[in-house]
Amino acid sequence: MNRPGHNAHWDELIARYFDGLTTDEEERRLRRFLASPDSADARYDETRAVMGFLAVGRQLHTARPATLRPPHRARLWAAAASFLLLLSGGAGWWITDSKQNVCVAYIDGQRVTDTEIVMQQAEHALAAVRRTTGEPTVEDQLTDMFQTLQDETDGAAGQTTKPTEP
Amino acid sequence: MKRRFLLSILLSLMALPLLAQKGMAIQELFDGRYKDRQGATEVLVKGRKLKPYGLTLFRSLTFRPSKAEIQRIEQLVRTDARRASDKDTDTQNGRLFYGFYGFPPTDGRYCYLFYRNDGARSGRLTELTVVYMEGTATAEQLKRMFSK
Repeated sequence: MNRPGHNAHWDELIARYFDGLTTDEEERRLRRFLASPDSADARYDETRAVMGFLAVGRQLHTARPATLRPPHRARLWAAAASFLLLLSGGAGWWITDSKQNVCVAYIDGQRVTDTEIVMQQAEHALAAVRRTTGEPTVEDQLTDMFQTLQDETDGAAGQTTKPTEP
Repeated sequence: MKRRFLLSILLSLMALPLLAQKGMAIQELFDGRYKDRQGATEVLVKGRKLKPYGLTLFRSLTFRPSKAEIQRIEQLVRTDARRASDKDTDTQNGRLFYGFYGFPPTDGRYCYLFYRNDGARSGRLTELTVVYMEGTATAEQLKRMFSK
């Protein structure tokens, strides 16, 4: 129903709303009017759209935030992950160290890990393969042999009897 | 996808023993066959203990071999000797009595092989010793160390 006085009131209120001069109570009354059949007139559509848009925006702005996972659970996971990392890192180091540093001997079928004994055995092995100074080489031995034969031949040339076979 | 991944892991593991031999024929002697043998002494030292000597690996085997074993070991040593860049050998009665072999370095790492068969002189079956070493020490440095 068209009531000119009534509409003028609302028109004035709408004008003041868009000028930012309305109070909260006046805005509430304006919203109620725009939601009622009295505002069925098409000229209020624009105002209705703006107020509806703003109402939705307000709702979104004041919505409660999504509930977060309790912080202590995340800390527990982080702690567990760190512990596992440390454990695997330590195990990895131990395995690597065991593989890189070895000191073992097998003596008469017995496994020996006493460092002193193992290193002693290593020294014995090195001593066993050492070419000791003064040990005649093949060349030395051959030289000696030929020298001996030569000496015997020279000695025989000065004698009447035949030299004995070496 | 999972199967292919497992297969590649398996193949890599199979390749590990081949890598460990480092191409030396005498590595066969250190595959554990003499560990339980009476009269045999096998030594393996790696890492920290050898650092003062400029070495990273020391392996030795001392035992009284049979005639067949002597022949086999000599064969292994001679096979490796072909690649040696530095040699000092002594043969007695047709048998290898003493052998020192230095090999060309790989990635700054030298390899050395020592062999001694005391029975070669007398023809009797006595002690035989094989020593294999790896490290950054040169032959000269080793000689100085051993002469002390």
